[in-house]
Amino acid sequence: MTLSPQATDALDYALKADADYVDIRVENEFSNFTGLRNNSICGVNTNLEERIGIRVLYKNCWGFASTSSIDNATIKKAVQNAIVCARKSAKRNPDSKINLAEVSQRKTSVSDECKKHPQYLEQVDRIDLLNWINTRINSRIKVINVLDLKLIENHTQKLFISSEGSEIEQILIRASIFLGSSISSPGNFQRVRSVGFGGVGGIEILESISFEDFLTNFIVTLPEIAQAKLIKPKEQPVILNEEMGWNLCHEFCHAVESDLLLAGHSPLANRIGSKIGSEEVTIIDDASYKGYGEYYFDDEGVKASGTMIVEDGILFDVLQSRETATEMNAIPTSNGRAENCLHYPQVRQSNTFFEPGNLTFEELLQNMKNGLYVCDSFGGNADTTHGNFQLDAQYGRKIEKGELGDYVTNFSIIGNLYTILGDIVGMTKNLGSFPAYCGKNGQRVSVGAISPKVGLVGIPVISNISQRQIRKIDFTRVSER
Amino acid sequence: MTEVLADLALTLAEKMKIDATEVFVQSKEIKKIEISKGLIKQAIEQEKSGIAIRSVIDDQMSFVSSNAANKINEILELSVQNAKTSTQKVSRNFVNRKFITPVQEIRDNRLRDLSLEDISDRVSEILSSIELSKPVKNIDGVVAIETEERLIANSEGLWKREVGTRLKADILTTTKVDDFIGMGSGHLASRVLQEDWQKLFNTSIKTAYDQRNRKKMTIGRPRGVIFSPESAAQILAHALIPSFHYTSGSHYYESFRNCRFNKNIVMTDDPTYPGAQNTFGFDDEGYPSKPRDVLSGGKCKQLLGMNFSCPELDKKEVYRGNCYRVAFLSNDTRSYVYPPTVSSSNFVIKAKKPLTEPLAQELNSGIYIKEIVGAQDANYYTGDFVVSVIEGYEIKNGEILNPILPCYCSGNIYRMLEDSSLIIGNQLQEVPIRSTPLNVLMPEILSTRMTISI
Repeated sequence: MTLSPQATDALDYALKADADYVDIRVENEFSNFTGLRNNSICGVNTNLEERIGIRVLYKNCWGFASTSSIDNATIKKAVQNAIVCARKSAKRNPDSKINLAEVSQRKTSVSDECKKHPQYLEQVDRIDLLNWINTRINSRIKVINVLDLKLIENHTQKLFISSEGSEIEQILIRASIFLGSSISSPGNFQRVRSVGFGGVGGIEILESISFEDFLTNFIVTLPEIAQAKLIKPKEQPVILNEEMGWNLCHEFCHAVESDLLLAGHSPLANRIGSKIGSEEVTIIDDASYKGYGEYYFDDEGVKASGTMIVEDGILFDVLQSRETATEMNAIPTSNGRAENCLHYPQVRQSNTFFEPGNLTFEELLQNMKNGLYVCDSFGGNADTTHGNFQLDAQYGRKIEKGELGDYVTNFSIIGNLYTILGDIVGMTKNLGSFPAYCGKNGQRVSVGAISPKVGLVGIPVISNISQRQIRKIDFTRVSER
Repeated sequence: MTEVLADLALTLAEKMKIDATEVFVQSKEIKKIEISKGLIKQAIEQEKSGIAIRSVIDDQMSFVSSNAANKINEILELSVQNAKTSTQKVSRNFVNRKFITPVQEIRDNRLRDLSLEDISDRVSEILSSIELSKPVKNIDGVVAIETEERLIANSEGLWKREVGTRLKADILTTTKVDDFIGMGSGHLASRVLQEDWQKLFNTSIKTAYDQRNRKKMTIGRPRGVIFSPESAAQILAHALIPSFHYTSGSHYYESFRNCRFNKNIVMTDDPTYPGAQNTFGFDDEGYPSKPRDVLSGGKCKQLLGMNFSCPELDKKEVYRGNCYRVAFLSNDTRSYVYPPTVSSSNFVIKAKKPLTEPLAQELNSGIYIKEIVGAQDANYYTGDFVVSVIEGYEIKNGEILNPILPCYCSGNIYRMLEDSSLIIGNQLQEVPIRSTPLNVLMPEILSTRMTISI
């Protein structure tokens, strides 16, 4: 990597200043955004970035500094800043016990495979691709007010070197496309649909059969959502589609991020080994899985591996960084991640998913008999301290006598993270995988939204429609929990 | 440094015979203290700088950004190459007047000169006065000071530079009383040095401690709900304010403009608001900052726009001068990395005739919603929202009393603001919306159109 001499110099300089541990992260990133809105190109944007982050441990205290100016003088100043921060912190907190769990040191270079490298692709190829998708959608659907297509490509070269001897270079390549639309429905109510497709590699991933299925699903569901009915709030059995299933899994897994456990923001610290879900539930976090959250090594140089979080309903393990692993007397799980090297690593999820079950979708529908099929997320939030969560769906379909029925829209599901896993009654055999991002303490990282379809015996479904329509619904019938 | 880089970029662009070029250079220094478990865990210094170039060739535009100042030649070449093939048509030229604008007081030297050690000492002193025991189990948070320099210049002769400072702090306290875990937060956002940091911690601790007596609410439609400035600002920021941003190609605005709002509401986008987070002398295209009324007399007056985004609309319908380089869901919401887009600056909501008495007295009985989460999932096309109430209180006999258990509050922002019974308080509070570039100045509001579910 062209920036490795600067990284080595920074490491030497920090070690001369008596740092007990130093890691240097250097990144070189190329990203491209191409946007098409209502038949016209609305953005052709390219970003080239180089940056460096320096983390030092001095007498069990952290110092961190970063800069986006890759010249020797600025890097030297940044190293000084990190050292000064750590020394002052040590003076202030002489009893600090921060330490790093031991991991094996690596000298390696790894890269994602890619056929259409973002740096070498002509803009005209991207524009042609967007125009083709736009034509396909517009030729089939007439109810669209706004149609937004966003093609995002990213090529990041990351170098990690540490005073322990690691020298890791990894190249991560991602491509994704996001389709957003607003559509008119009867009564001139606007409805919004927003979906994404993407994964590891260049835009050749959009030539796959799964992208074709994704596009077909978008085209088929959009007019149906425009006509979709409103829903009566009540507790009922549901099947979550892949995106909603992942959302539930993801919100739960925030509660097994060890920094939140240690800070008292999750009650699961004392429940390792306890039953927290039905036997159908097995949850895995695996950064080595080829999803949108894939990497080879985390931002602390720990080799990516899978972590069994829940096995057959028993809480088995939690996600760790090197620092939290020491504190909890555990093994680092390769979940120390940062948005980029300008930020320090914290405990984050990668590709987190429910292990698939043994049912087909038809079998799950038959088992469910009546209920609601909940599809595609608008977002969600969870309070890990007390467990309350809310997930907003883009649309749903009624399940009647084991078959999919009318489309419904404008609703959310609510519940408690620490009891909901006990209500899971089955999962499908196949996994769906989508691109997603997760924000924590102001840092945004890519994560793989991977899940099978998930059947739940019962969950409160609430409406989030306008007051004018709410009047027709007896909201007070929602059972109290 | 920023001036040398901008000058070099414009000189090179001229040599490359680019029809029109705009250069934006930004440099940021961030000093940050991270608090964990009641101690200063990390002191962090960050430096971020870079350049963004928009080039127009044959009426086609490209945008390239980079922090590799030493590769300015390559960046411009890429910009030319992209512009030639972009097919992103532009029918207007860059701003071509050398605006001379009075720059607001956005730099506080006392804040800028505060070293990381000074910040650590202040925070450390406060933390050492708080004993981590029962009931205070934990204090987490961040205190950050940011100094930002930005320069906008273009081939039409525009050249503007501005330096500003910001102070931001978010503190979260966890208390444990018997088996109950209470959580409370304190926030501070200012352009100038605020001396009373202790208050921030005290607010957070008191709120967490007070949560222990929480009561379960009755579901359904309460007589009325009072939203604190923090909660109301978050709902407005996600469910309404984006609708005032004009971006090309949307057919949606016609129905929005025909909404009839409560005539007592006045909404203004004010990038000149003294001391507010998003107070600037000019926007990121170089337009001078000035207050712009977007809603008054019950009607949407004009939408917020930027030079390049609204070629097809008449000047009477869209204000220019609201172009910022911003992103949502990011740690760094304002950066040269992002392409220019329409965004509000300081969005001010007030009443033509505000109620001077406390809103709780007016309501007599109902709910006071202090802190919410989930507003970011609001649907700004329809105005529908469901938020989780994480800090709320019962109002009885005109007094804010017991805290309530978490519940969900749903409604529609348009129906709420159309309602003639909506009451608006008189004390504005500045609320920077987390993970967004938005900043809202908001009073308390009282609405009778909310639904509660648990």
